[in-house]
This record gives sequence, structure tokens and C-alpha cells, in this order.
Amino acid sequence: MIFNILKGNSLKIGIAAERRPAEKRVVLLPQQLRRLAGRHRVMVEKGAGQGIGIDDHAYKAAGVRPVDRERVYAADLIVRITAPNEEEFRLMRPGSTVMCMLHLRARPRLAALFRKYRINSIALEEIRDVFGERMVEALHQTGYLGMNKAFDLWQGDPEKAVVKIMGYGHVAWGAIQAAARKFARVIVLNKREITQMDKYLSGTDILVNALNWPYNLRGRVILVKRRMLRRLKKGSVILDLIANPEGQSPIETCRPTTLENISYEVDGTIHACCWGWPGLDPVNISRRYSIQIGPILKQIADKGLGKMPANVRGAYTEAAK
Amino acid sequence: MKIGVAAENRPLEKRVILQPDELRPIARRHEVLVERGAGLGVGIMDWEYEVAGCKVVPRDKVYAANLVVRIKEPKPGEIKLMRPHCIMMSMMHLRCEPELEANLRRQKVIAIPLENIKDPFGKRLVEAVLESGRIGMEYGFKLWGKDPARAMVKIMGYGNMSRGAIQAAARKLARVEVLNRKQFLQMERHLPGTDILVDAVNRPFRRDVEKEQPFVTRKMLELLRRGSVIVDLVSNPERHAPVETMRPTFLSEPFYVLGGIYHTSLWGWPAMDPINISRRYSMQVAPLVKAFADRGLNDAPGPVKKAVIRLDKGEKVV
Repeated sequence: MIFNILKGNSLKIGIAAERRPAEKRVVLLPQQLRRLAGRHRVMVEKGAGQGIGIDDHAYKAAGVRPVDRERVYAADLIVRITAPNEEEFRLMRPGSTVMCMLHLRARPRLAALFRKYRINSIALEEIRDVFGERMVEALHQTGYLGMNKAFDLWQGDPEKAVVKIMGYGHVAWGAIQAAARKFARVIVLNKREITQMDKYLSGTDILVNALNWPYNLRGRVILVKRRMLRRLKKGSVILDLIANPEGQSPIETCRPTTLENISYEVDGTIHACCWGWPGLDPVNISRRYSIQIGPILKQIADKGLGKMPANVRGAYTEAAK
Repeated sequence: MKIGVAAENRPLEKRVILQPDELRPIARRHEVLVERGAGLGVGIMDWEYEVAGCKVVPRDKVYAANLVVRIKEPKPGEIKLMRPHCIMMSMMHLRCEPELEANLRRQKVIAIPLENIKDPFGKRLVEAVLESGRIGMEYGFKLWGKDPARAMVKIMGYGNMSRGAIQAAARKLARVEVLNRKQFLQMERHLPGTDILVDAVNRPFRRDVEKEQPFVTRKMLELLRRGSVIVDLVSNPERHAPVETMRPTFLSEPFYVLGGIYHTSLWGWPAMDPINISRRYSMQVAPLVKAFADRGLNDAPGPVKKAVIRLDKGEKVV
């Protein structure tokens, strides 16, 4: 068995189901698995694709075996979108590998689980192309979906909204496009302006946080303090697109929410800080991830975990032996 | 396969499509012919290509190859050097260039327009769109001449081109507002107080453009302070720009002043930053050329195969 992995002959790959509340996505669709299943033993957790209307038969037809959860997590390589929880870690064999979105620097407790159960990891968000761009991402979609949700919550006519966007990266870009397409007034706040939010909050209907807030500032520097919310009109919306783990947002009153329960209110201001915004559009996002991950997974599987391509190796963390 | 790497020969054009680092693995299996002096503009000597395993040859030999690669579309004289059923890979924008299409068709050339090579999500694989926005915006600041942190920048449009401009402006701490399609129709309200106006509106090519009312008319220029700047990132053909007074400019004279306002609309913004853009294109194009050369026209990778236009067999441009 181990010998096979080292030689890169045939790999046991488990496609796991997502398990967050109201989460409907699945990491790989049958279409992208067909070629892989021809050379490797690919299993999928029963019912994994149900959320987006793909039943187990479709996987079966592609040569992927629908199996119980325990068997999926016993594979050599486990693939999913969000990180597993401790219960799932217990099902894995030490020395196996998980490939999913990790953001380990922001999540020390998750990192500790990988060490405790001696599981290797491939962080999807760290797989880069030659230009340093992420190869597996839905960043634009995050901004776009989040912004449209914010308009729903605001309830006013989008054309009359003043939208201020903190940040100007990929995620901000999605929000800018969504807001401009609804004819809102769009103002992009630069690095100096975000430190003077007292001044810029007035007159804002929807404030968007799209900052990739540096790790060393998280929890230390707060840009929008609770007392500043007074400057917003009642019913204004704060949209946090980078819903970091608890306590790491540059907006004091933001805490991560789930798809099931996306928004809450603080001092008359609606907050929407979903952890995993792309989950709002499960069909398209699943398809997107599947197209992005399929070829990478095939490369890893064909060459074997010992001979990963350079860009995947950069995303790989080996558990201490 | 014989692969010809042609020199760009527009005035003041310094770029080159493929660089020695990226050509080395290709030259191992194929005969790569580089036009003499092709890389000089970005500081690459002919011998650097030779060390990478390429042959440096005169122009007619380059165009006689099976596959000719360059950035800008070839000129009529160059197309005449090509052999029938050989392949031209370059930016073409054939829909706006019927003459180019006719020339290629007459010579029975197979066209692979670089701008048509797209990934499964429809994203261009060979592009410097974001960079164009950045380069244009930075040039706008240069013309304006004052501290960018004090500039009010308004950007019309919200495509990828605009994204580069937004990033460049925000990084320089300018105030940035993005104007939407309804706001285009009320520019007299949005022009006062603007220091740099950026047009990043990508509109389809229209025939009866004469009847249209431009978003920014000649008269509205009075609403801007003297010394303000209008940057056209799309560099529309004359009279197609949403700014009435805008016409395309070229590297030899990238801007002009009209009514006290700087106008700039470079035909091909990427050419202003030849070194970085050449490097980018080279990294984007090389894997495509390699896969294409290794596997041939029929087994070419999906994105390239979809971009092929068999002009030699009478295929139409859509």
C-alpha cells in the first residue's frame, strides 16, 4: 500500500462532503473526476453532491465509488472545501493528507489538530501560478455575492445607496462590480482613509470590508469602533467579506456568521459577516472549484504525494513524524 | 516544428513576445528561429537567445516557419513572407481589422489570435489588462504632476481595465470614486472637483457612432480645473471615445493639451512598460506555444484549439 503511494501508482482519494449548516457545495463534480478515477481509487462520501442536485449515481457513472464517511476519511488523500472538524480528524489515518481551504495562520486551533493527529495538509489557498496568483479561488464571487446580499439587507433602492469599500484587491473588486451594476455610488477607501473612518462613515449606507487584513494587525488594530456606528443611519449595513475567525476583523462589532443565519444587528446597524460567502451560490462555485482543482488533483495523484509539482509543494505542510 | 519568434517593428515599440528563459525548454525539441535584434528593446541580446538554443535569423526566415509568434498583428509585407497553411499567433482583434483578415486569408494563413485564448471560465490567458489600467493611471498622475495623495480620481467603468486603475490610484492614496452607467449620463454633475478622469468603459464597436451623444462633451471640459487630466484606457478609435475631445495617441506623442486639459489615450498602453509586460507575456505564451508545438494543431490544448481560425479553409471570423 505505502509502496504504491511512493511509486505514485495508484492513490486512494476520498472526496468528503461539506458539513457546515446550510452548506450545499461539493468540492469536485463527476465530470472532473472521470479521468482521475480511471487510474486511481476515488471514493465519494454518500450524498456529498446532493446539495447541488448531483446524486451518487452520477459519481458512480464516472467511476467514483460512493461510500460511508468512515471509508472516505480513511483514504490517502482527502479532498474537501472547508476544513474538517475534530471528529473527522479522528477517522483519519496518521500520515494521510487533507487538501482543503485552511488559512492556518489565522486558525491556530486547527493547526494544532493537524499536529495532534499527524495529518499532512495541502492548503488550497496557497497553490499559486507563476505570477503568484491563487489557482483555486472564488474571490471575485465572494465580493459579488456578499455585495448583493448587503443590498437585500439594506432594503432601500440600490441606486440611492452610497457604498464605501475598504480595500481594492480581488474581493473588493467583486463588490465594486456588483454595486456599480446596481447603479449605487461607489467610493473606494484607500489605506489612509481607512484609518480615518470617523470621517468617512458619515453618509455611508453600506460599508464593505474587503481588506486582507495583515495577520500581525489582527485583533490589535481596530478601524471601525463600536462608538463610531452612531455616524451611520439606522438600517445601514456593514458587510464584512473577509469574515476572519472571531475577533480578527478590523471592525469591532463584526463576528463570523453562518449561511443559515447571515446577519445580526448592533446599535441599529445590520452586520453581515458570513464565514464562507461563496456558499451563497453553491452550484456555480462548486463547478468553479471543481474545474480549478480537478487538473491539480490529477497531477498530484499521477506523480504521487512524494513528487508533487512545485506550486503544490509550496502549499504542503507535513505533519511531524 | 519550426517556430519563428518575430520582432515587433512598430515605431518606439520595445517589447518582444518570448524571452530566452521561456524558450529554452521549447528549443530542446523544436527549431526556434528568432528575428535578429528582437529582444534589444528590453535588453536581451541575440547571443542570449543563441545560448538558450535558438537560432538568430533574418526576418524572411522567421516568417517562413510553421508557427510565427509575435505580440502585435503582422503588417501586410510580413504576411506575404508566410507560407500557406502556416500559423500566425499574435494579438489580432480581427473584428476591428477587416483588412488584416483579408490579407491573412489571401495568404492562406491559420490564425490564432492571442486575445481569443481563454480558460474554461472565459478569462483570457494572454493578457495585461490589469497592467494596462495601472500603467495608464500612473501616466495620468505623471501628467497631473502634483502629489497623487491629493488627487480626486473618478473612474468610468468597472471592467478589468478599471480594476488596475483603481488599484494604482488607491495605492498612491488618491481619493477614488467609481462611476456607473447611469452616472455616465450626468457627467456635468461628476466632473467638478475631479482631477483625473479615467475612461475605462469597454463598449462594443458601433457603426453609426455619429448620432450618439458623447458622455463628456467639448463644452463640459470647462467644468474641470486647468491642468486636470483625462486618461482613456480603452483608446477607442477616433469619435468612438465617450469623451468628445479624445483621439488615440501614440508612444511618439502620448498626450496633448486641449482647453487646458491633458488628454491621453495611448494605442496600446502595455507598450509603455516594455520590460514587465514582455516578461509577463513570455510567461503566459510559452506554455501555450510549447504544448501546441509538442502536440500539433489537432491535439492542441483546449484553450488554444478553440482560438484557431482556419482562414486557409475559409472559416469566418465571428
